[in-house]
Amino acid sequence: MTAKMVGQEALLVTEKNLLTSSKDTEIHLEKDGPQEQFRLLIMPQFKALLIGIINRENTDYQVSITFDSDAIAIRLSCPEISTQLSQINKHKQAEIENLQQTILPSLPQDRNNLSQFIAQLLHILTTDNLATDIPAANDYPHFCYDQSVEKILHHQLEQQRILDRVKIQISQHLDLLEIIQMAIEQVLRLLELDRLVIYQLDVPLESVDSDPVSVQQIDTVTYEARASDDISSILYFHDEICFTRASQCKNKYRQGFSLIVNDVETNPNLTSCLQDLMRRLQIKAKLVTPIIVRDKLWGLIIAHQCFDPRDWQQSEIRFLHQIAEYLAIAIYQNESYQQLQVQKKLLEKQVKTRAKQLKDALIAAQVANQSKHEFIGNMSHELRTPLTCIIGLSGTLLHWSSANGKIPLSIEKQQQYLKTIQDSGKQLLALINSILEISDVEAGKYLLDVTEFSLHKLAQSVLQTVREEAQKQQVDLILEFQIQPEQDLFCADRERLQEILLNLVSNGIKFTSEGGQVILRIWREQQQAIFEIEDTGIGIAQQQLPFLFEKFKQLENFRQRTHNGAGLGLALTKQLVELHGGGIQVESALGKGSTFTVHLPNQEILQPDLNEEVAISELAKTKVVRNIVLLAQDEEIATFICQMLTAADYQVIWLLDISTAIAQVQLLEPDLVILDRDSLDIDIQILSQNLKEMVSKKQLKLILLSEQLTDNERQYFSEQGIDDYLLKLMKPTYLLEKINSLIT
Amino acid sequence: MTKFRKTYVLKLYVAGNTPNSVRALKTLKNILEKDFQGVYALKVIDVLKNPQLAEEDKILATPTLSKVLPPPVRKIIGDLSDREKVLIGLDLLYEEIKEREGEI
Repeated sequence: MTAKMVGQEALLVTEKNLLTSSKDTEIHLEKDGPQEQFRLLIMPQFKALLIGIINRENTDYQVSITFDSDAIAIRLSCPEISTQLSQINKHKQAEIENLQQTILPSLPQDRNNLSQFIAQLLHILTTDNLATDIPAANDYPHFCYDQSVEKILHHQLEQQRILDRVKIQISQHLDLLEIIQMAIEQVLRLLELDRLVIYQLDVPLESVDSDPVSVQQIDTVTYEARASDDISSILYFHDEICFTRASQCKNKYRQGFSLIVNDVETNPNLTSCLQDLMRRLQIKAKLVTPIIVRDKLWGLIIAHQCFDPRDWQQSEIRFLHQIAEYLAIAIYQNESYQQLQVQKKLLEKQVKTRAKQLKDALIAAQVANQSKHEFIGNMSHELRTPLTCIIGLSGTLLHWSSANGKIPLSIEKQQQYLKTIQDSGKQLLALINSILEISDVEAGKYLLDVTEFSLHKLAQSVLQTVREEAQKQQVDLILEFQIQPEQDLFCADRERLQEILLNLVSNGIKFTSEGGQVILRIWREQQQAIFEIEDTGIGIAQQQLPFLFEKFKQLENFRQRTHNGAGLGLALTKQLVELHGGGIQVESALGKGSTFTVHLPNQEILQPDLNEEVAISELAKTKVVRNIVLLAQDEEIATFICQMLTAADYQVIWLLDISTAIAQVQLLEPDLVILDRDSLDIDIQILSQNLKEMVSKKQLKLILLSEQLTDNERQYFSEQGIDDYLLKLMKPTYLLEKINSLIT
Repeated sequence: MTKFRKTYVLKLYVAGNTPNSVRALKTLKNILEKDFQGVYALKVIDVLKNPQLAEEDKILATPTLSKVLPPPVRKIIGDLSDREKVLIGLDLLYEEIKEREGEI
């Protein structure tokens, strides 16, 4: 390849020296047939000639090396070489010097070191052969080594290296921004571009404009690499005028088209608008390749030459295309990754909410469980106290009554005991009733029995009911009735409303100490009636307000309680209010008192077209008046039955005389008549017939009360219209059950 | 907490089946059905048949309505056509009247 002077006296000669230095600069060799190359090293104490013969057909080599001076002389004796040799020193001085540096250090200093030298020589030989072989493989007609091939090779390697790096980065899940930036900067350097940008389509505006409401999408330059700072930046450049028109261009790009502009000024495909733009952006030549992500045009990768036109090479275009494809993969992966992240976050959030819900439910269940536990505690306490009184006091009385008249207890004491027994019994009954009631309301059994009634009268009767209690506690009961007489009539379930008010008022009394007051305030707002119950009692702590209307919940723990009650009152009240479609609120300050406010909408009566009279008679009917007439003369049994029936909420009219009874029964319209057979000397047959006839429109039930009855008598009386029998020795519970079953 | 329907024990003294007696019973029934919120046990006594009972309770005229329970004992004499009087007698209207006086 080269001829070198090694030191002053050493000389390396190849055929190339001879050929290039000769006047006819190029010698074309035959394509076929063997080629011969030689290397001649001449030093004062050493000469060597290396000859290689390449056979192109077989691609094999013949290499021979000789140290014989004569052989070398023969070899060089050909006239061309000998004439040229003399000139070498002059013409190739520079190259010789170049080689000097590489070969000289490794040259042997004496002949004996021959083997080392040969190895060195062989090394030179093989590298030379390799180099000459490449152009041959490319069918390159030149025998001489081409510099651009090396460059191309280098480029290809470099391209591959860049692509590999992008690939690695993609697989490493590096930040997309980093990948793209790195890629375009390397490509810029490799292709010696002035500017390389990524023009992204449909970029949400938020990065540019901070207004997140109108997320507009624009096409803009999002990445840029520049060869130097002299080149103006076009990052975030955005032009709608020229590009938006070119929608068919986008279609072409989507199909993988690359735009190649070698010279902006001369390219006929560019519109004048685009040419202007190119000039403004200082672009002389450009190369545009689409980045297609999932069949969608994501953006363009654009190479710019800013100073001179450029002939874009096919390999460069191909490389840019490859880069675009790799970037597309990176973008796609990044998008998928982003989606995955979003979904992951969403799932995490869902899991969190679920977990919270579960936790809440668990806590609620625990609280409910605890409430039930507390409720049982409360109830057993509530039930036990009156029961203890009843058992204890009745036991005392029983004990003394069996002591044959020698009762040391005063009459007053006895009466006091009996009164306590009765009160305790009533308390128990009320408790049990309220338990039953709440389960009824919960089961939705209470349908509203809506009637029209006077609010004023209702308020009166409520206060009347609790007056005694208030007096006992020395609490002032005040009614502030702020309704005009013409608005006095209101439609609701009177019984239920009364219960609501009673609950609240008696609660107020219960929690108000001596000298305090409870105010019942009533006014109307359009179709609503508002009931406010204000007391000056102990009040309720703010943190306890939420639990107030909860079932089984008493604000005091049952072990430390000072006020009795099952804790069902307010829960029931709330349910009754809600049954009316109303609402209940409470305001309270600890130690100052509480105010309960009930809003109740005016209910619609189901049959509004009935005239008033009918409505009233309807009212009388729907109101559960369970009248019982007792016909008896025996004071003892009659008193007993009266007591028992009134305790069971029946209205009892006790008639003493048979003679006027029929007329009176007719007037009183009872549901049931109890006849005391033993104390009435009358023919039952006539009596029952008369009774049934006279009150025919009502389902009048007749019960015969007797000391004892035979089966025959039963049969006989059944035929006379007697519905059932009671024996005087029957247990009270059994008597009540019979009457209940007959009346309902 | 839960109301008790107050239990009343009433006695109505009549004399036979006279129109006054019938009217008294009718009116009383009416009042008890419409205005009365408690539970009652009404004992209807014919003074002609049971004079000893009338005597015990010192009944001088018929019809007479006597409220035995809750105390105090009250007696309303007449055919009960004065509705208000009956209600006052039963301690039912007492509050209402007090209220009205306050308004005036």
